[in-house]
Amino acid sequence: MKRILQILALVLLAGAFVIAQTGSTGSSTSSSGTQGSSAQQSSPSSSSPSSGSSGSGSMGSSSSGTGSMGSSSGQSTSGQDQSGSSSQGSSGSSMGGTTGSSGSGNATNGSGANNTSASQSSGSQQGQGTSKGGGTIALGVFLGLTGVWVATRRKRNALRSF
Amino acid sequence: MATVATQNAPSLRTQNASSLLSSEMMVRFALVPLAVAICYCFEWRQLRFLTSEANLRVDLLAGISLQRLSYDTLAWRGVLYRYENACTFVDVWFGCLPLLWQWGRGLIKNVLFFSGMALALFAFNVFRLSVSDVLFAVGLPWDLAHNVISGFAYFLVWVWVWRHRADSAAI
Repeated sequence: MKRILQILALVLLAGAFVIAQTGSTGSSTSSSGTQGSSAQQSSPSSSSPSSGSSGSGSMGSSSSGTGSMGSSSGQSTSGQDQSGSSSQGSSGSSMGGTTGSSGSGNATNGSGANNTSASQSSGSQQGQGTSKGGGTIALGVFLGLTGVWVATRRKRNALRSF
Repeated sequence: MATVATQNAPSLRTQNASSLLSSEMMVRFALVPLAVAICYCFEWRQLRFLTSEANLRVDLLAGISLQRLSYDTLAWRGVLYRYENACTFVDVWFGCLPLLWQWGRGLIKNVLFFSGMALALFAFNVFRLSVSDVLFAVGLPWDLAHNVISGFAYFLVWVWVWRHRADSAAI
């Protein structure tokens, strides 16, 4: 019987571990554009809606960072151009998770030595998150409701004692 | 006999309430953040995929057509949604572990109980996400449609946990 219990416990732990370990630990994605037509998409975290963004430009690389627990800030930076195009990275902002902090995105423009080509830098859009601090709101609602619930229970118990 | 039991019910509940605030319960509460922290040591990719997939399919029933971009990212009308650990309620399940684990119940029964609870939480969570999506699609702001609903969902789970503790203590 003890052996069965041990096996069950091991299977449970192993199953949880396998599920948890199926992913890599990286939390940001990056890609580099080639010859002025790459599209970079930002990934907002914590299921907050965020507009997609794209960066265009040659030789530019943009990256968007995401994080768990809702406290990350998307950030993208453009690559340094040598052939004259500017790329603009953009990012979606993230909403707060349980910690309630919200991220903010920023984007920087790359500058090239011969930054004269308008067509190569066109089409970029700056993403902007529409939800910030969602975890804080959820936590606030939860704590508020729990506080009312506790107060109601105390009042009810006090009435019962009389 | 039933009358006596009914008369003693409030006092029994008071006793249960006091037992819920015992030192053991305090230890259990202290273990909750630890359990949640352990949960966040992992990425839970498959669970995030399963949750997003279930949400996608339920939303489809409600007439909301989400598009999958990656294992944890969906898009709807050009807006991206990424499913994090908190979106799967796995942290809630881990937080419930120290609160609801009963030493007297035995390992197998505990495992069965938490397995069933995991399934129930999964279904409840998908329902929560889909309700949020529907409300958001109707036109409510995201904070109200998703975050406030999430707060309600956490509260409902909390009430269930507390009542389950009280019932277990009564038994």
